[in-house]
Amino acid sequence: MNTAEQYFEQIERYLQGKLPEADARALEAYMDTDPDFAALVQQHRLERQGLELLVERDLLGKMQQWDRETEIFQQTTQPSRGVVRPMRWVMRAAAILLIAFGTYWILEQYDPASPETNAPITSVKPEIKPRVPTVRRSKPTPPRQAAPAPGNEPTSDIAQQDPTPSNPAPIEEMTGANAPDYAALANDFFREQDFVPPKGSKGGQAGSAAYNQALDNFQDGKYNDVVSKLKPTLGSGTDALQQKELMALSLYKNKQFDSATTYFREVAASGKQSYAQRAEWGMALALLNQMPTKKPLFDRVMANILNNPQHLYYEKAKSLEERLK
Amino acid sequence: MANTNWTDEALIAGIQDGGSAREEALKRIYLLPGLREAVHRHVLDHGGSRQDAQDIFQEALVLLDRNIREGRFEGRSTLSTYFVAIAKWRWVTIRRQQGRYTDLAPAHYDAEVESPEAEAIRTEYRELFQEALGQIGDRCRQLLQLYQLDHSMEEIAERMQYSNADVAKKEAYRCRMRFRELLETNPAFAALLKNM
Repeated sequence: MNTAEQYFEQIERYLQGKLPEADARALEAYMDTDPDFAALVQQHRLERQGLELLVERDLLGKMQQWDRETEIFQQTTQPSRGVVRPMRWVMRAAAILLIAFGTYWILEQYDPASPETNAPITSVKPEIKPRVPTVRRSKPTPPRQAAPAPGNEPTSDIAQQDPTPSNPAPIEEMTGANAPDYAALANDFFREQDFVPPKGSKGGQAGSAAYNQALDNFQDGKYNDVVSKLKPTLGSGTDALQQKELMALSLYKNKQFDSATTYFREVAASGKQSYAQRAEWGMALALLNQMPTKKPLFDRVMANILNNPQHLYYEKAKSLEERLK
Repeated sequence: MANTNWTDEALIAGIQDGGSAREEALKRIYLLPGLREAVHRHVLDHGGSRQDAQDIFQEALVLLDRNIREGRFEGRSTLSTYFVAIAKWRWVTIRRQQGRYTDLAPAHYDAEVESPEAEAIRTEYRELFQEALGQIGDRCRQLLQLYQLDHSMEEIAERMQYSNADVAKKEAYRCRMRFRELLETNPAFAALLKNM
């Protein structure tokens, strides 16, 4: 270590309050006698204030991520509309029928003018208007490719987007005979190369030995092996995000869409833009496989992507949205 | 292991420990029931909008984090009281910057957040710092952020995949000198140094 580096370290430790009391006093005394040295310390102090911007920016990003996590969590902990809403309608209809029958029975009992033979209750069955389903199955067409280009990341922060969902169509309108085959649709849009490099290619990011081995397993279609290999070390190491992404993809391939969604969500919340945007797309497809039960969350994730024209998967999401119309 | 018993002491220790403990503690404070509402209420009651309130709430967490890391929180009040005090102080400062004079009554804040000088530098030279930080590269930004958060060189070496702590230290020094050079070539920064 040269003298400049030694000075540097000494000043840093002084500004961090880590210098022993005696050394700090000695340094202050030296500052009093050497204006150049005092100016250097002042410059260090200023630079440290500038570097605080890095910490600040990181923390602001995390806050947006926490807000987003909380919103998604609240969304997923709400009772499933697909199950509850039809139940509510059945109960309401039953209550109306009960009241109608009760009123009829009371009137019959207490009104002496009432005729002995009334029209049967079934004759007043309410007219049910036929509904046009809001989502129709359409002929699958190959989606447009929007492969993420490393180093060409958009500058807008995904975590800063307002995830306000568009008004979702009522679930009960989507469960008719004309509902699309969501799994087939998801299958049309899922492209392995969007997430991992093809086998034998030089692309992709090199990870730890465990990750690289798991990637080999994934490319060989051994998804259970990937899960068992990654599970013990998941979340640790410098390639934690890559591992989680691969885990999510393997679970997706195993049709464990709920678990896949969980991992995609963790990656999406990481704030690392290319990973996060890829994970959002993965999450949308995992949720599409679980439609219509997961429609509220699916709508929200899609809105996140569609609200950001810079999103790596914007075009694909647009195309998917068209197909769902 | 996650700390499930979040006393003020545990939160402070978490922030000072850095790394995931800091993140967990800050998240806990950020999501603390009632805290956001208290800040929002104050800002809304004192001429601010909802967006102002949210900005102040987030800025208060940034300042709380910094103050705790720099050992400026003396524990004279609870952490949530201190947090709200910082938010109030910040809102008063902003109102004053907007030319809306607000009396600095003790009831407004009881937290010394940072010196007016440091506050002025941070605000006035923000763009200058940002410009320099934008030119040092991703690796350097990441390294200097860890360094600023007081991670040990061993931790930095592990996280940034340097072969050892010495290499990390050399890199930190190199990045810091790059940052310095970029600042020094900016006439505004030179003027700032000269006037200090």
